[in-house]
Amino acid sequence: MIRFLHASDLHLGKPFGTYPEDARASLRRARLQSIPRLAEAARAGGAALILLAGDTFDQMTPSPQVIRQALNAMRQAADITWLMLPGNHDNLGATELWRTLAADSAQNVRLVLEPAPLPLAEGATLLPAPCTERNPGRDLTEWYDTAATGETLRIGLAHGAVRSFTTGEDGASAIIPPDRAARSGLDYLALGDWHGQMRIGPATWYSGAPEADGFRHEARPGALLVEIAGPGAPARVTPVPTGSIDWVRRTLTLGTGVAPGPALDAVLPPFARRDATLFDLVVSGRAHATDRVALERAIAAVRHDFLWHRADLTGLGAVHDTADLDAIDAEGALRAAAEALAAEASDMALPGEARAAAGAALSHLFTFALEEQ
Amino acid sequence: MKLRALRLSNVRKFAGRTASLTGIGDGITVLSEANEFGKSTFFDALHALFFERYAANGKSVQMLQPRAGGSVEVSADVETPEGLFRVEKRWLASRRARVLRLSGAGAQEEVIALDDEAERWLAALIGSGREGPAGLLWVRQGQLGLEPDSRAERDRLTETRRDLLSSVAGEIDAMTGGRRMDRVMRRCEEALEALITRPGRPRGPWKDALDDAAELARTLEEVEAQCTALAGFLAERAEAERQLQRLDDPDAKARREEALRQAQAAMDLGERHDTQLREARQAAEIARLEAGGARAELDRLIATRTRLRAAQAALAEAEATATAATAAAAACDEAQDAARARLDTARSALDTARGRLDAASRRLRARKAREDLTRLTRLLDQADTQQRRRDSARARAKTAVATPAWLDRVAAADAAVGEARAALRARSASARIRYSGPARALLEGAELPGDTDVPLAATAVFDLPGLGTLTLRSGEQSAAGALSHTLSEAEATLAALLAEAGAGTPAEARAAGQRLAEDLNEARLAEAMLKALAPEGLDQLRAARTEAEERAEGTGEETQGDTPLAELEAALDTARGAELAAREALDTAAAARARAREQAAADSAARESAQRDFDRAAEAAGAEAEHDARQAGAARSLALAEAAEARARERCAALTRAAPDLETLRADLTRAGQAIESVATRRARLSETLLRATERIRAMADGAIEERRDELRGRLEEAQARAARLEGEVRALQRLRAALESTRSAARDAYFGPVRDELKPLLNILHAEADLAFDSDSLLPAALSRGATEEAFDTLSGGTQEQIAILTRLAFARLFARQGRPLPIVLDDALVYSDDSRIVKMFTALTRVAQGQQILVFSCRQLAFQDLGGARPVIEVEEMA
Repeated sequence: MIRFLHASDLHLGKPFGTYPEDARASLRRARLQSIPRLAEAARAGGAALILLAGDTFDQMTPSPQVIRQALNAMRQAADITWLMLPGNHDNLGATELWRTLAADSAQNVRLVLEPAPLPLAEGATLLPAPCTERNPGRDLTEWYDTAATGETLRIGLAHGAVRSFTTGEDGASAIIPPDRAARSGLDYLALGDWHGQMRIGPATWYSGAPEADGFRHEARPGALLVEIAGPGAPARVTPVPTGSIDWVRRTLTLGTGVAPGPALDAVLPPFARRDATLFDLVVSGRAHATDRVALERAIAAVRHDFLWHRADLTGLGAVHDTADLDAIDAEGALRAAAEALAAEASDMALPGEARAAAGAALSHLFTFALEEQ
Repeated sequence: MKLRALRLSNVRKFAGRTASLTGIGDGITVLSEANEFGKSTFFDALHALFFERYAANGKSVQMLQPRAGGSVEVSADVETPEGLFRVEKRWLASRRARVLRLSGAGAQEEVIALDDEAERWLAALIGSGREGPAGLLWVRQGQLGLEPDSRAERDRLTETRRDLLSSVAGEIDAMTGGRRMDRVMRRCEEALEALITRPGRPRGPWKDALDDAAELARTLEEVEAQCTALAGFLAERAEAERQLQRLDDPDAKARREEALRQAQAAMDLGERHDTQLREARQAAEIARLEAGGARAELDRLIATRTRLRAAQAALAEAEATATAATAAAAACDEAQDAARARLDTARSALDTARGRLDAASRRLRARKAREDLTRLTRLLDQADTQQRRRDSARARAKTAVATPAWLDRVAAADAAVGEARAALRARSASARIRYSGPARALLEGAELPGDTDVPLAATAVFDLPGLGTLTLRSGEQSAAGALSHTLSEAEATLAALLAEAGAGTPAEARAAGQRLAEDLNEARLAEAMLKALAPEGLDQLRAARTEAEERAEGTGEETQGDTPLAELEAALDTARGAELAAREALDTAAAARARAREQAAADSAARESAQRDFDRAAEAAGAEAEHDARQAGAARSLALAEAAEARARERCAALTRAAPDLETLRADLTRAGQAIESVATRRARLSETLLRATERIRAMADGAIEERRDELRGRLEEAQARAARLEGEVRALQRLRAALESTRSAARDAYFGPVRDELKPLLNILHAEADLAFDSDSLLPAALSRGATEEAFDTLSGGTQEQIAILTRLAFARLFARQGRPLPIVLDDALVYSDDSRIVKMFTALTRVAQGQQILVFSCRQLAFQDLGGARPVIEVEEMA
């Protein structure tokens, strides 16, 4: 019987440049802290072995600080054995990285840099498929078919996209066949590259990243606790959440009869998590100008709740009826300007940019007019 | 719409009571009561009914509430094309709005709208909100009097007037956006100014975003270049490591060392073989030299014997030759002697011919000398003659007086005499006589010539034969005397000159001059001839003649019958030729003799040399009896040596054929050695490359440039998105500004024109040909034009400003009426500044408007408004039920 924690894609040192400085610092810190969280998850699950299926580091040459802090965190978890596989971000071409890791790693950190069977534990053999290049262009797990492991459990460890995906996480073409585990007689194939947790088959899983780095994946980030009783026994896979920062993208659709305030409240994350949440609000539908202004004010009121916040109202169409325009003025030049902009915003014969400008102009007009009663 | 009745319940002073105003007419209705009667309360209540929502709780509503409190209720009966309606509103407590349809005199009431629906009904009735056009028909604020008594009152009136004007402006504003539009526009401008400069360039956050993006792009480019360099160093290091691995491959290294060892062994073998070959070649060379020596000895023996025989023959031949040469030399001696004798003969003949020719030449020279003497003597005689002639002429000329200058002086003196005589004749009397007979008259004893004018002296005495003496005396004695004196002096001068040359008359003087000229000419001629005869002078000529004399004296007389000189010269030439031929023959004979003697000497020396050769050959050959034995021994030695040489050559050839190519072996050895050295060099170089690349990789890795690159990419993306968003914001704000400007401009254009059209006839009631200009920014009346003058509005009197403000409202009202929206005009103590004449004209204007417009006038000026006419309803007050 073997029990281990399957994790991948820590992407330590990822800079998150599109985010403000304070958010960047939090995100980077959270990724580094995923190491003790993984160790804790392993301990909690009774595992003393963590397989990192690639992309532990975000760059080929991370800063010495990132490397040292990561190794220190692993060294700190001395009761855990870490097996680190090169992914496409930290592939074997990152010679300096792997050289440094080889020189500085503690004894509980093992680098698997050769595609050769590696005794993993009593009765279990690891078949690592380290990435040789950023885009190897070939199936690095092909050698599993002929790998001699005797009567031991065969555990595959690889990084890359399977054929069932259109592309990998970074847009690379899929290479690993989805039936690799069955084809090569694997008891479990631990995959990395896909940042969301995903089951490809009964014995093939993507663990996903222990800490999210985008809004793409809905599932809560974490690792997989894997237990295999013995040869021929099915792998018991248990997702273990590890994420500390929530990446929440919500779509808010406004329409007739939808009050902006309550609708926004309904999609807002709970207060307790907001300071650790990156909240991306995508607003769609159509709204009266007053409602739009109300929504904007409501959003502005809560925006500082979050670690980072963005509201995209470009998908929110405008509804302009007499009441809306009356809010500006019953008649006169302001009313005429509003009517002209409203007509322009809904004139499909105009280019999209012109319509958008007119709509935004009208929104400004509403704001100004309502504030300048 | 027209108002027909108003009712106020529990409003201000009508607390707990209901005040009613009924009987409001179609045109002007005047409610003219004293102060505190409640006119303004009616006005405010009516205004609230139309413009304050029933749910309102603002100040304007609260002001209606009496101190006792309670709900405030106002209603109005309004007549529309649809019928008669009552509008009711109750504020503050039990708030309510109702619209009831009245069927005839208010007897039947039907609620047709409540609360919000009632508000909408009312809004539809009056057209628009409080700031809309309907609102402008309300002119509020009554006045206490025309002339304020205090500063506070003046200020209040000023404020009132400003309110009045502002309310007009406010109504116009309502159409054009007005101050609210200004505020909105200002907000728009402020928002734009935060993002762009006046010329439209980015500023503030937008510029920051663009600058950030540009800076980030630049930095990113640098960092990406560093990343590329890092990748290059990584690749370089990987390649160096791969190559080092290949170089350090043990099998390859062993192969290289084995190749070197084999090449060295082959080289050693080759060098040993080469040594053997060299030794064999030396042995063959020695054998060849030994065979050569034997062959040379044999040849030498044979040659010695041959030379001996040849020397013997040569000696015999030399002796014969020497004998013949001695004989030939003797013959040459004889021939030379004969030639010398012939030469002596020829020389003697030559001397003879030369002597004869010399004698003939001397004779010829003597004859020539005599001829020269004769010629020179003649020339010398001629020359002497010419010299004497010249000298004679020169001597005469030298003594002559009649030189040209002297002749000039004579001519001048002669002329002076002539002139004096002429003058005297002109002054003197003259006498002319014509003789008729032979008798002649005498004058001063001389015969007086006939038919000639004879001048007379001052006193002239004629002897007239047969007649006596005639004495004539001139009357001008002094003048004649002076002329006579002058003449005498001239004649004396002339006579003196002539005397110098011994001439008696000027003609003689001229003849003497002529002679002098001839002498001079002769002298020149003689001189010329002398020059021609003796160009080099007489002395030279005389010396030539002396020399000719000497030559002539040195020669004998020519012998008659001598041989001609030419023949003598020919004979001399012949003798010379013979002498030359003889001399040449002697030379030839002497040369032949010398050669013969030389040949004889040479042949003698040759014989002696042959003798010596023979002696040496004989000595070298030794005893003749041993010659054959020695030659046979030498032949045997030669055969042995040649056999040894052949063997040595054969060994050489065999070794040469088997010899390896040492150059190739050396090249192999060099190549093998170089391969090892090259590996060492490459290894060192690769190690250096590896070290350098590693250092650079570590330096860059320490800088975390990939992390920085990814961060910069993100930040650049964010900055670009921010810039794009702000650019969109600018576009939106610019679009809003354009829309606002466009609609405001259009509204003003659409608004002012019709208003002015309506206003003009009303204005002309007060001011003929007047027109009003509006300020497009403030929207207030800006200037009043009357005829040719234009006055700024704020310089007009308060009354005029007030009247214009009211007329503007009337114009608006007419405009609405024309548009099918007739609305009542409500004036609350509006004409407080107008004097009596103007107020009458204003009444006329009001009456004119009231023909199609309901006007409700509240005023405390009962007397002034008596002339306005119109309906005069009375306010009725009763306790509330």
